[in-house]
Amino acid sequence: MQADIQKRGENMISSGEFIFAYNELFKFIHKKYGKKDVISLWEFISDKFLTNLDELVREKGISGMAEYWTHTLTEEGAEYQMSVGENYFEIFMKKCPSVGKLNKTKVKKYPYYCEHCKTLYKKVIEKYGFLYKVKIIDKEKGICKVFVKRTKKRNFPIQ
Amino acid sequence: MEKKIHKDFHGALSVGFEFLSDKYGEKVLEEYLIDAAETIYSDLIKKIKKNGIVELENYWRKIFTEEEGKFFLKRDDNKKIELVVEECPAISHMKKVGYKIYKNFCIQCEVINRVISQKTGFISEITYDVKNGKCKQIFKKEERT
Repeated sequence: MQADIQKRGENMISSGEFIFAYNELFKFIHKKYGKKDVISLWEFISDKFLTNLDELVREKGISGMAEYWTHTLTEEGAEYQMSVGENYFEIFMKKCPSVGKLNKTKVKKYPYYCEHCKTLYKKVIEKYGFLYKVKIIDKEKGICKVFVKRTKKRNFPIQ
Repeated sequence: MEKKIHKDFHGALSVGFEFLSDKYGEKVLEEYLIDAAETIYSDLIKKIKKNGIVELENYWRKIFTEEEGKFFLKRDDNKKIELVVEECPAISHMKKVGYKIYKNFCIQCEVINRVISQKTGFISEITYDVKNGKCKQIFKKEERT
């Protein structure tokens, strides 16, 4: 299993207001209760919201990750490159749609905005025998690299 | 060209509301919504102040059409506007996908409308039914005595 997929978003609407609502939520909690509570929020969202990703990774492993991110990043209109192998999964995010939306306005971006991707997905993916890492290359431009590596052998049904 | 939207965000927002309400209480959730509304809807507020309630009609029509909601709009010049939502696209999507819906999810529309109306010289009224995803939202001109 190996694939290289390139996508470029055009004329897509990704419920843009929600990105601003998230950004304001992070800022609001940080200002009132500190960063540790923002991290608690991300963990809460990971547990309660990412149930679809959890199910896909549990049942299909790396194929499930590819399925999940192909769906979400296409809907969000991201510009990215995805590489999928038997024991690894990578996303090179060239233009993060969320950061792009925030940059187009006068709204002040939460300084740790990009960190939510580290917490949200790590918690789900690592419990199924994978290592999950995010390298934020340029948080202002929305460029990052997500890398997942299989650490434990486990059989997933062939898709 | 077909436009796509990522409706799953509604589910994440609903979980965010639950977090604020469970951890700090609904008053804090309301405080957040006021803050967020003032930032997110500042351009809409400016437009309503400049051109009247027709701008709210344009906004509602655009959003509910994009999100594929079932709705009716009725406007009486710059005096009153009424939005009847027969099927809220956010609640409908969350039900379809199986996301947990925060028990008072519609508080967002109540608070956001209150912020917008207070800043533009209108009074807002809302009645909603979270379970069935229905609501009626009204903006009417504040009468000066």
